[in-house]
Amino acid sequence: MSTSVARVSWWRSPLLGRELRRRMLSPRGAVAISVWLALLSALFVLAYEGTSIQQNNFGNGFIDVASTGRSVFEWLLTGMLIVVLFLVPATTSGAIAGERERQTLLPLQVSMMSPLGIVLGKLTAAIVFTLLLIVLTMPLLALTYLIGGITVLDVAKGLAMVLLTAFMVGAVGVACSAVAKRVQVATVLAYGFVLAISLGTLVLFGALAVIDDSRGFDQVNPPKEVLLLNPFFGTADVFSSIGQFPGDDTDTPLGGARLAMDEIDRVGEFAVRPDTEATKLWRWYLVSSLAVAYIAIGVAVVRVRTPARTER
Amino acid sequence: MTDVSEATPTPEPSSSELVLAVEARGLVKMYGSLAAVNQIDLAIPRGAVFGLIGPNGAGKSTLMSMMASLLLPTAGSIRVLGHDPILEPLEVRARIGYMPDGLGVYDGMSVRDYLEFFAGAYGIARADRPALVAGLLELVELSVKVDSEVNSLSRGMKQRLSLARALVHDPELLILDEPASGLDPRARVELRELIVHLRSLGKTIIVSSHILSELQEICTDVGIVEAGRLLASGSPRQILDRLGGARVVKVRFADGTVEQFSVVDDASQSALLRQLVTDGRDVLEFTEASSGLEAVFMSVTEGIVQ
Repeated sequence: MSTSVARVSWWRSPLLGRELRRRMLSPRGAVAISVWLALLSALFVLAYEGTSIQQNNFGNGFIDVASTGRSVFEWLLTGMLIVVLFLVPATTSGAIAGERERQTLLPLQVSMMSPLGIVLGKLTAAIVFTLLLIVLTMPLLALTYLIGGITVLDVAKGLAMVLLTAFMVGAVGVACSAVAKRVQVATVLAYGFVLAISLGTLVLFGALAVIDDSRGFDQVNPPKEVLLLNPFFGTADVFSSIGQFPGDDTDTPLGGARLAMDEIDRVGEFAVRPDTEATKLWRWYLVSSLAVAYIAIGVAVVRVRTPARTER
Repeated sequence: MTDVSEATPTPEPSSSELVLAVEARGLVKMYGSLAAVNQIDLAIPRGAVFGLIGPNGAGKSTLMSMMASLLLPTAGSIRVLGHDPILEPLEVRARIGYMPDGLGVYDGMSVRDYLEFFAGAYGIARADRPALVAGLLELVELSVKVDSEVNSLSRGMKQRLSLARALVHDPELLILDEPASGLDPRARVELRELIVHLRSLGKTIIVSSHILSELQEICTDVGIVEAGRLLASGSPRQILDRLGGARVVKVRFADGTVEQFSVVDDASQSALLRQLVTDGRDVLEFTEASSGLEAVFMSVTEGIVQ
């Protein structure tokens, strides 16, 4: 036997191919795709019907198609974010810990694959799967586009935020998996992170508002920076509000998030900024989530790298 | 032949590196205050089947992990096939095949896919993989199981598959950590024969076990480890001679009687046989009564477990 051995770059890693096949062709992958499409389709119908009825009851008898299209689109984005926040930790938290439990990590570590190759192989597979889910949502988004109220750029911006969120949460999931020895512990850690950035930041924001309110008679103005990593606020901020008057926006969670941010900005900046101008939070979300993902990948690589000080 | 792309240029190997597969000096591995490996000096010649013997928790796996570039030593130095596993891990990994204690198999993967997956992990070209896998499966006598799911194999078959995985890049040195653990007698014999065959292919093999009979017939050299220390190293005969331990020789005569004699080394053993023949006694059988490795192990160790 004569064999030529070569260092394996991460995009040619057999781990990436295996993970992609496992996710896309397994029954579990099919279930995830079915659940995703069923949930978003139901959300589409409910959002469209709900918005139309509301406008019929409280409007002038005409349906504002632009506002309806925008509301449906934002409901879809909210649904996609929620599913991604549930799905991605589940698919990444077993990445390294699962290899360790199966006792396949050592043979990989002693092969010609780099630690970065192992980590990125796992992460890329999770992101590509999310990308597949997003692509499968295209028919629904196309219908929303036909209703009106959104541009192609809006769709691109919204999906980019969903993908960015998947990347950050996926990277943290892989890092948790590399740090924890067991999959269960890694899963708890990953979902803890998701809860902290989505609900935790919101609760903290509310608590700071209450504290600020109790401190005097001036306007309530809690620091918006605590929402830096909140995917809902970050995504909401990509779009400007559609209302013509203060306090007017889409009747969606993203619209609500925008109103809350507009209120703070108006108070903080003495109402200099027009309501329709987006705040800068989405930029901070972009930067901070990329930074978190970068740090998480670094932590995972350090944990997988050998020779190591302790047996892992 | 092993060719590592983007390899760092390394100095010419010294004469000892041409002769030795593994050379360790003052090797120490500490876990807190516990010395898992304690000041080990080791020289394993190329082409040897080196048995690492010791009770559970003696430090065998830790020592092997350091050889396999998986674990950093706390102190001391180690060279594997002329390369430093700490500074040149890729150079070492390209040349060694490591089979850890655990089997390490994926669910829902066929034997063929499993080996092709690890061939990919060593950067072996896709076109070369089918022939390579066929050759490896023939070597470990698993050709008939090529399309079977890995999880459906018996433990003995999984061990042989694990060995095939370690051989996927045709390494010069094999590091096998407890390969016969949990195997039935038949599977043990098959594994032993496979190791002997691999040695005949020119490979150096380091194999650990706490079961002495497993290593008795295949090892050219042994290292006895206890409580992290290497108590003795060399061929079983050399170690016994060095220790000055007596051997018991059992002699069966033509008249049906059996007698046992005590000798100290090869010279006295052959002298004994000469003397018996000179005395006109009809010798039918002349064998060492005690197992070589067992005698060595019992002479050297104290029964310390960390």
